[in-house]
Amino acid sequence: MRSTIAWGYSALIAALILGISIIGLQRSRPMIDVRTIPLITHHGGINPESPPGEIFECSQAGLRRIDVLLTLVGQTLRGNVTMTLRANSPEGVVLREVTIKPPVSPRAPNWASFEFEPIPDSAGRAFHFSITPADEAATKLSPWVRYHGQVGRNDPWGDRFLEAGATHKGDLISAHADLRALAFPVESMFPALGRATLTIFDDPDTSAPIRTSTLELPDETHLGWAFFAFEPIAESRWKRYYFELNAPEHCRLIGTQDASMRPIPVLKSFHGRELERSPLRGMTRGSLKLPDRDLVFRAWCEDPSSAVLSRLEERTGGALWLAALLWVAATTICLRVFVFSQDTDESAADDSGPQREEAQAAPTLGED
Amino acid sequence: MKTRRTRSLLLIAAVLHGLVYMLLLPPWMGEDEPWHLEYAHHISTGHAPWGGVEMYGAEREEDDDRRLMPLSQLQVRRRIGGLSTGEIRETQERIIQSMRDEDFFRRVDFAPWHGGATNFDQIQDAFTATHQPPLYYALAALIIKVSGAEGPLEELRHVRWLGFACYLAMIALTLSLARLVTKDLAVVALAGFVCAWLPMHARQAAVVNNDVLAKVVGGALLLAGAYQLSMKQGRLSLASVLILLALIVFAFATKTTTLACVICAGFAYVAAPARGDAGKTLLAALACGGVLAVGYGYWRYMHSPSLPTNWEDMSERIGRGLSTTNLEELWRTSVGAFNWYSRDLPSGLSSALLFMAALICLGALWRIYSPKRSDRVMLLMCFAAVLAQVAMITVRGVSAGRYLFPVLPAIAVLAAVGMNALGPVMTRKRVVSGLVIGLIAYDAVFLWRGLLVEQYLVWGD
Repeated sequence: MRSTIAWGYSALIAALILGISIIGLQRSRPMIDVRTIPLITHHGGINPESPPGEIFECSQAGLRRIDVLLTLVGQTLRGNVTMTLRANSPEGVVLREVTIKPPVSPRAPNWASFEFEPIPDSAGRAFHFSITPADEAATKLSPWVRYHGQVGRNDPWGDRFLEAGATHKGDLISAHADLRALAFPVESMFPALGRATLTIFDDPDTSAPIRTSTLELPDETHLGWAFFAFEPIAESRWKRYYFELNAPEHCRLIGTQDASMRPIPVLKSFHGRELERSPLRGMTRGSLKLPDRDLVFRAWCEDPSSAVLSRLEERTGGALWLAALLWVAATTICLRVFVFSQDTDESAADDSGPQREEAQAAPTLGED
Repeated sequence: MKTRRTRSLLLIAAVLHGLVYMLLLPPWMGEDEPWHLEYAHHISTGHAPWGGVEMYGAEREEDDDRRLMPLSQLQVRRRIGGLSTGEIRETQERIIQSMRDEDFFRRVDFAPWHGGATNFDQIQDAFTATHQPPLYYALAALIIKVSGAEGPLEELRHVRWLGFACYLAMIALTLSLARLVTKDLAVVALAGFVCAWLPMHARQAAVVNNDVLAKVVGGALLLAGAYQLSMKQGRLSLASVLILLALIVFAFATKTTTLACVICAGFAYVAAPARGDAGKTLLAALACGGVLAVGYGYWRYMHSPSLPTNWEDMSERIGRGLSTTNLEELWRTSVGAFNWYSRDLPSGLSSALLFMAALICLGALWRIYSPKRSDRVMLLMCFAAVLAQVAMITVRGVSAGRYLFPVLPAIAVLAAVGMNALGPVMTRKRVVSGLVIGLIAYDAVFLWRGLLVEQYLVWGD
């Protein structure tokens, strides 16, 4: 009888521990979480004329918050930023508008959280959000951009300005197949004042480029990475390519110098293809759609515990309940053996234990 | 305490506990599983881990072998004989497709963009498992062959049972080692429980990685050494020497992380010339030294990145190994890190665990000073094994909690002894009960608030 009670206590406590450990599991998790670790390419200061944004599909009801990762690209000032949420696209109906003063830190990027009245019927709908500086100080804030590609060459931000209005030349070995974009750090690049064009060659002696990329209006960049995208070069792995970047007069690239003290551009190369399934439809700049990249952001919905549980069931393929049952059973046994055991210390002693004698002489654990 | 019943119950509990992790750890979420499975797959298709084609870098890019195939594929070609370029490429493509299907890229925060990825260089640059010794992969290949598994996912699921078997073997080894260390059977059972319930170890019940075999070989070496220390003088038999040699060969054929256990066991065999059998002791010492030299040479031949290439490299590794970052990493990945170590336990819990570990360590040290119903020499051996393992990890310069597991039996025994030494005798059972409940609660938080949430709820895009 005492043994049965001990087993009962053990099972009860095991179930209690499981219950306590899952309290709060329904705490909301982001529905969308755009990740890029490490962060390598920031967008540059926010321009109110062509604010950066993103189009995404929402899979859950109750869209209630959007976080955007911001970093400082100028002096430490705290400005106000407005997030505008629209239906479908940059031209869609304005659904919510939130202005906040986001936290800033000169050393690390910070999440700016825009919370708003939940949208009850958000499941299955597409939304667009953009962030706009509400005052001058906020133009020094920059969101981060995740370009769709594996990173090949990955130079750090440069340490000097390159000559403005010049043609910058360089070359690279493509680390992977499907070379699809090169990104250069720029102090300022405004296509309205003269377009920047990148041409790529597979032979240094030829004048016929294999790819050309021109930045479009209003694809402007201020103290950020400018992306020159082109049709992927399928068989690019471990081949050397040569590029020429014609920057207009107003545009200053940021570069470094080579071993012979010659100024050279720094760059990042991106490789790969688009994904087949994604809730992300790409970044926007004003009305310009850039489906080959995303803003680094998170979207949150109201997440009732029933929704969390059904998501867990679906994603674990039904193994959740069996695992919980097995865990309770295993824990019950351990509690019964170690906590609700009626044995005394004395009965646990084995006086014929190790005496630095023959081990064979000592009883083994299997002997009662 | 009825020992057979206790042991049986503990093993049943361990089987159930291991099954929980088998059920809940998603495919490809064990660290480096794609590379380990790739190696095992090639062995299972009848290729030997020798006879490959050497690879060359060159100053001129037109002479560089990387123009032929990605580095990860060149490394496979270098190790495994008779593989065609197509086989190597296709295997990596199929594994990456399975990783994609199983949402690997949504779970691991540092995973790169996978659109169009077809080779492992696009997942992690300059990385391979083929420099590892082949024993684990031979066993894994045997499982693949016998089970008739087809496709990377099925192969992975079958090979994970090897990790499950190794998890149970570790608990058995811990019980045996504890039995040699102490005559307190409650402490023996407690050591087995600690080994079974340490969450990061239990998680290894479901992982495809040669660390799961390395820990069993390491544990067996410690047990062999402890067995010799527990014997009377002059009883070093030829059979025991042969067993040691066989274990050392297994160690060298498994992973470099077993080296500390090899040294500890070898030391236990030869450190007692007073046994009165100088001839056999000398023979054992020479044999150990010879095997050590051959094994080291073999690891060199395998291009193991674990071995320093020169003194400068070694001193740089030690500097890196002793850095606070590295030691923090060792602790972090020992107590709880998920999704290829990209996410952690809450820092508060990690600090609480550190405090408890320090207390238990003090208890163990007290028992070494005052070895009530325990063997001081054995406790010292366990302590030395743990220190040696930490030293080896330091010399390697790269930390991961799983590298500690070859000495897990020693850690579990010290923890059990230390737990049993805390508090006055009158309250000892309550203290131990409290610590057992604490370990169970830690496992619950790790599993239900950590692993479940990080693997199944927090997905990236």
